[in-house]
Amino acid sequence: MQSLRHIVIEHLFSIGIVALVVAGILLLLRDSHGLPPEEERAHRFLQIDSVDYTSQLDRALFRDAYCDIAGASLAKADSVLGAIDRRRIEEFTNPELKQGGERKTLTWETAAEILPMFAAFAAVYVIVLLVTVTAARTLALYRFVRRQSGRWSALRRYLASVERGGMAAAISHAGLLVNAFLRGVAVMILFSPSYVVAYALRTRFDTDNALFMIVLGVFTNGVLITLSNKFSTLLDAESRKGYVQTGLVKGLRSSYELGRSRGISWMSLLRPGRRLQGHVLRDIYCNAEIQLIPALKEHAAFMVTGLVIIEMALNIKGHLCYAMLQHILYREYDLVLLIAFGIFGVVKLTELGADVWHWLLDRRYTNDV
Amino acid sequence: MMSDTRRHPRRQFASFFLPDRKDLLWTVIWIGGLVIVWVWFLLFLNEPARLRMQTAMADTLLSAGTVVVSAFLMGWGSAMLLHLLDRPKRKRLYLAATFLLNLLRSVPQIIGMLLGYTLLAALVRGETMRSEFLQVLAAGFLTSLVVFQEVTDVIQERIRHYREMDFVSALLVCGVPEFTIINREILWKNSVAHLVQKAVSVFGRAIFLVCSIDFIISVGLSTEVSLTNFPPTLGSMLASLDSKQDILVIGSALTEPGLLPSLFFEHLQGIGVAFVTVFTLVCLYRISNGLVERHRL
Repeated sequence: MQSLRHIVIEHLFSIGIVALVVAGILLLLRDSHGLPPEEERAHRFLQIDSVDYTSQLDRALFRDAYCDIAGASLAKADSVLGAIDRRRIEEFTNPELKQGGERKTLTWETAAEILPMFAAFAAVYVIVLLVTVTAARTLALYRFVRRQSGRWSALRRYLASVERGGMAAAISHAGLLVNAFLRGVAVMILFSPSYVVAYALRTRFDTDNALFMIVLGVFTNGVLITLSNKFSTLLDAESRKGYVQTGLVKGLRSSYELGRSRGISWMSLLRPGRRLQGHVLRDIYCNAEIQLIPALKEHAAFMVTGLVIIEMALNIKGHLCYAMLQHILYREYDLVLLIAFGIFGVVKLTELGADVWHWLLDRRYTNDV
Repeated sequence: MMSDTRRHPRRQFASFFLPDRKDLLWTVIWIGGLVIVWVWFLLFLNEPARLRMQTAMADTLLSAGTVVVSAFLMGWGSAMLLHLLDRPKRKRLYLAATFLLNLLRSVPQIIGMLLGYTLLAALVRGETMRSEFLQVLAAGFLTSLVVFQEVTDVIQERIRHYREMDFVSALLVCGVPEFTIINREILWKNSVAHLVQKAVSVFGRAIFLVCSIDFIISVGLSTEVSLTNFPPTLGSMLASLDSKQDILVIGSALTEPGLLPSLFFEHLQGIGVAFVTVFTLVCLYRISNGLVERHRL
């Protein structure tokens, strides 16, 4: 088992390495933001308010003054004037050089603008993560319990009843068909990319708020169903292991009937650790849970991907990823890198949290003599 | 199977429609569903939109296929490299390679793709990459850079699983090279189901990512890369104004059920693209799940 110190150092080291790389790129970008020497000089001469470069007199005065002060030839002075003219033309034609169209660069002010957006993004992510993990666990347990109690799916039950009772049963059990259809629709929604659901609901709901983002983050992009399926597979694999039989011989409860006193209560699906005392499912659950934690690390990056997609696709002004998209559009790559680094940090901290949680659980179950 | 149905005659009917080989069932459902949708388009969707839709579907599948091939090549290469470095003498190199892979894993896929697409957009703008076919392949390659670690993990896990087994030691003693054992005996003869399942899952993930990134750049970066200079995919089709308006009608139909029939005839482009995307994702997930269940992976 890795020591906690080792785990923390490993994650912080990778954050540090990436921070160094990002800082290096930012320095390179800062250097490339500067103008070439000739243009820089032209830009400085254009700042002199008293010279009107459209006036022939002012131009002649500028040429003489430049030759006298800099000790340059007339040809050199003409070359400087040419550079000034080119710069003036560019200031009229290049949208980036017009007032208000300047590129933003990384300064304390721009970083301070990004910070509240980043905090909001991180808060939404943490809520989505917690809700998704809880919901996925509950859903996986529910599916596992249903499988263990030998309950067929609604569609299978409908087909079986049609086979038994013919046309009459087909009509009387139509409720099962509706049930199967609704489940199908639910699965389709769970797999839908968030932007499909968001646009479908845009005319009826206010989609530009944090609550809607959380709902989309949990219930779309296949995040919930993939995680729940992972946990469900782990539960299945654990249930086939030998210790389950040992537990049964030792007298642990094994009824999987939902809502029954000797079976599984509904509340135990929400809080399985405490409420499943004396039931074999508790051991299965605990052993599956410890294996789910490393999978959470894989899902963290995907959950963030989901949130980034939501913010970018919905074009919600004032959100971090919308700002990132705008910075890409205006080629403000230093700000793009800063935001990307922040998002990377969020994923890395989630991984650190998952590793620490895994370490704590592992320590509880390891028999170190 | 036969004896099972004989013992439970009542299951026969249900089993005919819902057989135990769910991966095959869902493959049939997927292909059948796409054929039905295409026939529907043929009957009710105008020809230019249908042709665009066909191209978008083909581009998306080609891009996702490229992701699978490229991710498997990179995944296999990195797994072999890690195996080669996993020796006491090369411990530092092994740790460095693992560290780099973990670092790459922590980058959210969409961020990595977005940065890559910015580069791709620059190449398209500069007319360095003119061919649409090449653009689709490049998009697939970019996506594979953010998903290949999954393939590396599977291959590494398979090697670890079999490494301690007797037959590996026996083959080594017989003089069979280590890489032949890994590639022929472990991966080819004993891990095909795992690799096929991973390929299906990567294919699904690739479709989701490619559609999402195309949607985002079509909506958010439209002045940089417009629909006219990037090959159409399901994502960019969905981002077009017509499709978005079609999808908006779903919300209206929830409160005005009278609009429901119009979804299938008048707003077919947007609804069709959304349905094909989601339906494909669901089917691929079910196929992958079916493989896990059937082979107990």
